[in-house]
Amino acid sequence: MLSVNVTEIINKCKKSDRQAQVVLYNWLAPKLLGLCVRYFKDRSEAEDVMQDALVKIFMSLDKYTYDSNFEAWCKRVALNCALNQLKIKNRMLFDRDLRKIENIEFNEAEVGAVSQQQILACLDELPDGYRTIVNLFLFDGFSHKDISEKLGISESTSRSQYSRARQQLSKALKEKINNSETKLA
Amino acid sequence: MEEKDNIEDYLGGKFNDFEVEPLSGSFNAVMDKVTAAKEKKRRGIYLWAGSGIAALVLLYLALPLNENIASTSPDIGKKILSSSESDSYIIESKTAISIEREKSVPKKQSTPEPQKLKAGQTEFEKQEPQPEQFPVATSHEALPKNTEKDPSQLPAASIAVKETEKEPTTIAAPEETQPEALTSFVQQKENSSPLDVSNPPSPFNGSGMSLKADVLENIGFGVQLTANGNLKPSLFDPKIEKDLLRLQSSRFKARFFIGIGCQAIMMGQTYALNSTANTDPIKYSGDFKSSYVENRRRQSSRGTSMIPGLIVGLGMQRFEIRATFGAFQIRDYEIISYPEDSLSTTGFTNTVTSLGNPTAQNSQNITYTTHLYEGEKCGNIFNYVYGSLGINAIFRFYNFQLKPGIALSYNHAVNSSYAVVNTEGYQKYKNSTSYLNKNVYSFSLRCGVSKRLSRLIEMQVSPVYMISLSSVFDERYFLSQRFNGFGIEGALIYKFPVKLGK
Repeated sequence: MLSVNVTEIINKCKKSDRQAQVVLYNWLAPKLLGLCVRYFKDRSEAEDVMQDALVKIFMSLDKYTYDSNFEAWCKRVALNCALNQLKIKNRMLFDRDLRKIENIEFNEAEVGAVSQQQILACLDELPDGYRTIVNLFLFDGFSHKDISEKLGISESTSRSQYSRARQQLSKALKEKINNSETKLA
Repeated sequence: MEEKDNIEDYLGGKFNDFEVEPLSGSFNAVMDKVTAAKEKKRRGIYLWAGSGIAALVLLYLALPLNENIASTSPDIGKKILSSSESDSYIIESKTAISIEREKSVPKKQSTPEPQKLKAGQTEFEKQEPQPEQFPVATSHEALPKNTEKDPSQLPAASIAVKETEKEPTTIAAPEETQPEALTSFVQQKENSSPLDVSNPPSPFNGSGMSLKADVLENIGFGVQLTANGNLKPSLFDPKIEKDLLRLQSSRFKARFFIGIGCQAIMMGQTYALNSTANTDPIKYSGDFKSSYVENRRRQSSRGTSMIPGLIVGLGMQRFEIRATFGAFQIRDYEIISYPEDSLSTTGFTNTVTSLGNPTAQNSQNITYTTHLYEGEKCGNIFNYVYGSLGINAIFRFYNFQLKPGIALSYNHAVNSSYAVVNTEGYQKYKNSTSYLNKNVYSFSLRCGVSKRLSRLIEMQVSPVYMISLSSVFDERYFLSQRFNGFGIEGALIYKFPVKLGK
């Protein structure tokens, strides 16, 4: 894909050129699915959201103005689809746990050894609300202000929920690391 | 980044280039959805365009009346006849009317000299208003002598100038103020009939007076010359004329009506795969979805439904706004037949391949909680309450009215259920319909014909075409199922009497 002119592909897709659509799909689908699987436990649900996102992208190519990175634009569309799906299913329920949050520290060697699949497994253990906030803040780089706007919650809620989500994620990660160390030993 | 320490530092970039290969066949699913979405978009455009054109037509039909009122209002008593229709009316009617006039009206001996134009004065301006006279264009003397030889040589405005100079006719000018005169005239008209020269239609037109022909023209009808020289409106019922006169002179220029109606509709269904459905891939595995939809598409399922309604509305001269409220039920049954397709033609019947076949149930993975057998019926009973808002244009022909129009309906599903009826007709299973779309919108086109039964009651018969804009199932269900159909609506309408304004 890198050797192919994206603009040319987009223009051909606008004219419903089947080959161009295949090329664009092969390039985009893995990236978008990579994003979606982080937001949904269920792989088939992630696939559905990825398909919806691709449908929106194919339908909205006319609206793409070439002034931003195409891949980033597509990922933004996919992210919005994922968030909409979570909102539709009313799964953005947040925890009101008031227990003190303990901080778990990691060292670089420990975390460096953790694979993406292990992190995904840890994410799957989180409730939908926590997982969404962790994904948005930690992996997609949104600020709490952006998250509060996207999810329709207050900034302080976003902060507190993230803190609790991070705690749970850290615990899960620590367990995974310990387990792998035990196995190695 | 705020708050990012430790875990954030290490994990932040872990998923930057993370990719997951999608399942094979995903591309085709995406393209199917794109095609369906494009088709939906195109259908929406056609629908909006159609509605827009219909609205423009209705607006066009409604506007001329107002324009006419506006154009005649400043010219009380000095109407210029400029249209060819009006000119021909004068010429055509002059001979016969003059016979009538010779009997009743003393003839003037001399014709006044034509007025000369002052500097800067137009033909229009030189006419002098004659509020004491009601100028009816029926005079033989209205035309100058030279125009009898070649009427086409004379400008229409000149004819009108002559019109204003003719002697008074048998019709006395109203000396009261306009509203009072209008009211008394309408009341007088209501007590007299039929229409003729001695009893012409209203000389009033909205806020001003105009010629008899103009009044008739305003309400959409021409004039007919009878053998004895009387003028009669053609295609025009005196009763309607009286009502229209009342409507013209009423304060609100509109009248309320209520009624009851019932649509008998022959409904069909359109099926499609729901592109937005989030289906469980295990439940509807393999090609079942496509084959099910294809199977249903092949069948032309038809059924009738009765849709009763209470009608309320507001009628103007050229159009009416109408709201309908009611409730109805649609029974969408499939007759179970296996092992092969066999089309059935009773009611809403669809044959679904091997659905209910005990040997095929496992392979289809359909999670029905009841066993279905050949000859049994299963399906949905949809109950709806609805409200509809529409606009109709009105064309009047004698005592008939033609009313083409459009309407938008909102149907709200209430207590709809899935049911199984055994071969003996007993309902052996009933449960709430899953994936029910509670809010269904529909659009309808109609062309009603109404006939007056009495002054206040009319009967309407309207052919209707209705198309459902949304599926009866919600976005979670894999099947998009929409109703559409042709039907006939019968209605009985009571029109409230019009009260005259002061």
